[in-house]
Amino acid sequence: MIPNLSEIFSLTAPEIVIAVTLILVVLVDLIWDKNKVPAMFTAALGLIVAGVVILNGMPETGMIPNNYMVVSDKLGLYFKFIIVLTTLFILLFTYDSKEIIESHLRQGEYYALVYGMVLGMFFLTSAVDLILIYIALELLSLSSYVLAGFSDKETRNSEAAVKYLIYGAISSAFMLFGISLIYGLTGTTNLYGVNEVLSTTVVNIYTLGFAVILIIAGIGYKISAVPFHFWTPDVYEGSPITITAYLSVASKAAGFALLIRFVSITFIDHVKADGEWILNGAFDWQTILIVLALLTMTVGNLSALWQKNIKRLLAYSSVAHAGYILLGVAVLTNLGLVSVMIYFAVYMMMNLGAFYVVMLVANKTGSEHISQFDGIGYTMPYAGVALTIFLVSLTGLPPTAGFIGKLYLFLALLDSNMLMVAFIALLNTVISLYYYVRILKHMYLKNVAEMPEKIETRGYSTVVLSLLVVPVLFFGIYWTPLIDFAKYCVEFVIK
Amino acid sequence: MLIAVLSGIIIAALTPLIFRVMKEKASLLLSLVPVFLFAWYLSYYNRVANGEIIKEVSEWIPAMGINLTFSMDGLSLLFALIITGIGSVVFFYAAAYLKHDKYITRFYVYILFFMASMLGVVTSDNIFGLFVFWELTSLSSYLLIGYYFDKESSRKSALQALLVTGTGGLALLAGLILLYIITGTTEISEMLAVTGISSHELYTGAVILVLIGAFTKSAQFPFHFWLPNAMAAPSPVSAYLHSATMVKAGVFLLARLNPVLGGTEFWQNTLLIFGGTTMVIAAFLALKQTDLKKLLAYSTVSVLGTLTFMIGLGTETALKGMVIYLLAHSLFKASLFLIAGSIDHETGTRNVSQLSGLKSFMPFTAFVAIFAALSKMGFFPFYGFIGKETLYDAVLKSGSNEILLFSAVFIGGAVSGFVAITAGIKPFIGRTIETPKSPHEAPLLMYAGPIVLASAGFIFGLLPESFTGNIVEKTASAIAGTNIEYTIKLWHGFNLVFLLSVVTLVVAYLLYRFRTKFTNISIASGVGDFIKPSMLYDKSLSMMISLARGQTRLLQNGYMRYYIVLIVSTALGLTGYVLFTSVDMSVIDISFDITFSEVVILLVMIAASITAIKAKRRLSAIASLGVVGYGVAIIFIMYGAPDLALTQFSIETLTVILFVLAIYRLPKYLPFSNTTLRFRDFIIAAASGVMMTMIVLLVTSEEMVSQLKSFFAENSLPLAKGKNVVNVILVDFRALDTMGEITVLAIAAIGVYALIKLRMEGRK
Repeated sequence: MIPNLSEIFSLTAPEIVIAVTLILVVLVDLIWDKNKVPAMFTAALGLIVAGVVILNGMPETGMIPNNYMVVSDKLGLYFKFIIVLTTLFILLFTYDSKEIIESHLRQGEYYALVYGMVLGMFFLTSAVDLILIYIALELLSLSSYVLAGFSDKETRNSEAAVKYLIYGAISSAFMLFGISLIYGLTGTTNLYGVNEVLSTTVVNIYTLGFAVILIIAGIGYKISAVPFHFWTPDVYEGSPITITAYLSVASKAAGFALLIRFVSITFIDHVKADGEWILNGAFDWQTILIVLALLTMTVGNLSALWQKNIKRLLAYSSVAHAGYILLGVAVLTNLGLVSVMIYFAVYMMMNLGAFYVVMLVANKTGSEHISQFDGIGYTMPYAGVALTIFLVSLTGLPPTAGFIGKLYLFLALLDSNMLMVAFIALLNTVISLYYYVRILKHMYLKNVAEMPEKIETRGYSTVVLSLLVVPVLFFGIYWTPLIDFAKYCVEFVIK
Repeated sequence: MLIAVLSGIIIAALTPLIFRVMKEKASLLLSLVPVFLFAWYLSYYNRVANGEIIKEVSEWIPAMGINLTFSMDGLSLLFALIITGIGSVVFFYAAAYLKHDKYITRFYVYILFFMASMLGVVTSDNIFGLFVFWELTSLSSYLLIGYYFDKESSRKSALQALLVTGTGGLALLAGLILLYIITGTTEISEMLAVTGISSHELYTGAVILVLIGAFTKSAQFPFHFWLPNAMAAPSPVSAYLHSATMVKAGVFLLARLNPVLGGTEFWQNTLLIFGGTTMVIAAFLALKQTDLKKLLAYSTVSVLGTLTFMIGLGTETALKGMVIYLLAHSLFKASLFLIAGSIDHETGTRNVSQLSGLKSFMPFTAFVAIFAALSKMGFFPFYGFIGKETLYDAVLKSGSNEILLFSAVFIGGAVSGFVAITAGIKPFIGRTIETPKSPHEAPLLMYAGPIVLASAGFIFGLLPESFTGNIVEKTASAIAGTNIEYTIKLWHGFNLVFLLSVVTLVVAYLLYRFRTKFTNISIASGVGDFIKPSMLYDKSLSMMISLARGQTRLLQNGYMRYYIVLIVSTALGLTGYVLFTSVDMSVIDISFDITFSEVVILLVMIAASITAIKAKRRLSAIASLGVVGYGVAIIFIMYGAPDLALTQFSIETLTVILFVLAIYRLPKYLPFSNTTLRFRDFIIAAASGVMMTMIVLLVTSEEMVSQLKSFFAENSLPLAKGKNVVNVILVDFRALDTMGEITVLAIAAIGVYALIKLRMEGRK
């Protein structure tokens, strides 16, 4: 019963690295209180170490835990790896971000808070105990509230933070209530224990259903699924762009990891040989997830359609993408899970890239209004081409990585005979084509009085941009490595 | 073949560099690319003509069994030759046509990119590879239509074309995935060997989706409207993409998949009906056009309909006729478009009624134009003549509904002749009319290419078998999926078909002679008015936008309180529905005892809640809420949970104090809501209260199982050596949670610190 200490260390090695670095970042920031570069380097270094630890740990996973609060499996490590990559990119973005650099003296806290988020997200991806899940969620949320209001330039910033906070508080209250109901029903907070109780005894289905809906509300808030998405556009618009990008990718990754784990561990009966998940019938997950997914993508896409602020537009587009990813979960097969994982890797690159270009433009023009993008294709040629590639990828057209994400998603859907659902998803893609192309139109096909002067882009920005453009194109043409990696990581501990 | 495709893309990427180095000469150098590729593909001619199918496999995604397979049979080679051959002409033409255009670099980047993708479409054996290239052609077409981006109409047409073909492309993707699920393979050549496709339950779905893809691309009714609008593009683009190659990709796909999906009544009849409808409607619409390019565009749509129609007909003769007609059309229509471009370039107008007697100014152009027009009309001995004869022959031998089918084809043929006279002959003969620019002969590069194309139409016509016999035979075999032996002859003797050909020409001339009348009839009949899918497109687009606007206004109005109302009512609705429809309420046990002191406390709490709602000042509202919290704490005490009560007391006190501190900084309290809103909120609040109570009652009526209580009580001393169970839980059994909580606090502290700093910065 008493866990072996070295086992615990191996289970939570990445988390330990992050926790130690968090302390180091604070210390380094205290020592060099005028120069913020050391803090940033410490932060980046810690992430690289964590990344190495994650990749190293991959082959040795699959320990079946016995009442532990965390598991270490490839699924969790995959999402952790995505979070590490995203955080590294965000640090790279930060170095280029006017908003954050201007808040010179507070940068140390910025890195510490980002690390707080990372720690929370890491625990979210591997926690299998409802209380730990809740704490991890709080850790993640608290850090993000402050980061959302980090810059003081505009009132919309504080508005974003407050809205985020209130909304977060309500959702987490919902979730807590759900958790306590589940505890009441089953007498345990461990997900494996819950599974055991659910498969051996009959519990009150309605109470269970209500509890699950409450927990979905909590998770839905993190992944901004409709109707828990209302905070998304306001917060995304108001936050510093680096944080917006971060929330839209990393925070969502953690939320999805949690959702997958919650569904698969708590409700699974067994996995069939062809990869189909057989749930224990206590709750009709498929229907509710499909409805949620379709609502999410439709509302997201329709709302994005007429947005004038690019950040807001991308916020709604990220809501829509959450819908597509949810569909992958809703299939409830291993193929569906692979499609989710691929989609996430792809989504990370293209969404980060799009936000980065928006940031570069906003750095020059001071606004994210769509009219600021008129003629960007000529004034900032490389950024223009890059954004084009990201937008094409977000639509899901070849030859970009986004196409692979969509391809695998549709494959998973059609493989499970969900024709109607695939059709609605397809229609949604058409709608999204419309608003993504509108940005293209502004960049390339807008009246520009005469040949405008070129805006110089820093070499640094070009390099960072290339780090995102190249893989989006590369994986769009040759996606084997990505697929293989995702397939390798579809291993999750059930019972 | 991969190299051929890649070379196009690589050169496209290098084009800006080439232009920087070579300046104006670059366009000529780049024009050699299609010439070279044409020669390269031609080198395969003998092997393909001997019936060989050349395959090239490079590993792509072995995990999914997807290889980047290219294969070349008659069909692929014919298309590849058309693409590179007409490409050569168009590239040279554009070098002169766009000579002084400041965006010429961009033109060559896009069009090279397009050519490479198009070659990819026609040589891919893998359906996903094909799809990738397919979408790339849509994208490059978007950029090319929007080439004159300073014109609003250009941008609108570009978007329209992209949305229509893009939507179709996605449908195609779904169709191809279904095809993959049905056959279990991604290679078209392997699909041919799979039997029982048409009896699979997904067959109909796959066919419909693939057809939507093909029809949008090839501008079939009801998606035809984007093509005439795409005429906003420069003339070389219209000649290349929108008549000779890209729009034929849909027809190509139908031909390619015909042996896989075809043979069923559903497939054949759908093609026949949609092809026939397109052919006739486009012909009617062509009658009233006065713009040279639009006229040619509608005629192109009509021809595309004819090609689809013939695949639908599906007989050997029909497929052969389709191949001949396709080749003939590519040759003469590209020439006519290029000539229309020259006329526009030299005279400054494309209005047919303003063009007359140009032959004295532009003799070479006139010569080519008349040559191409004759082929289009189906004049003996041009290649178009053979195409039309075979078509008529196929329809007459079709075996059912000959009269109906023939009248459709006849209308198409007659109007095609009319268009040929109007666009190819009329501008050059007759008396001279003044035009916006005084006309000159076009530069050599602009008529040399069309001369080559038009003479090809003539030579192929004279010696059809020796020049095109083999390739036509192999192409038709590839479409049919079986071997077709055939010899093309120019002259079949004076038979019914020839007679009908002659009648068509006469009718075409009559149409031209009395064109104003027919135009009036066409307008008066309203064919164009009530069959207007473009209206549907506009409508659905504006509907989509207004729906989007409406739903965003409704759902996302920016008020936090509104969002919360929305969420609470969603949750209420969902659980309420379940609760009242399917739960047996009688299990709820409400027969509990209640003591006097409990009643008093409850009354106090209710009164405090009401005060909180009615309060005019924030402070009193919060104080009342505090009273509610204290009430709950007292109930905890009464049920024997003093530690919980203590926590509750301190939390309540702290909350009130914090609130007071915050309120101190807030502006004056303003009542935001009116009575109606308050009433609505009251209902929602009351409903959620009732719901919560019901659920709590429901939960408490269940037997609660808890293994933890006894576990902790039994094990805290032996395992953790601690007598205080709560302490042991916190620091031992759930130590990780405690550490997590501490981390949360630490992070909160850092956050608060950052916010304080922010505030101090603000003061400075």
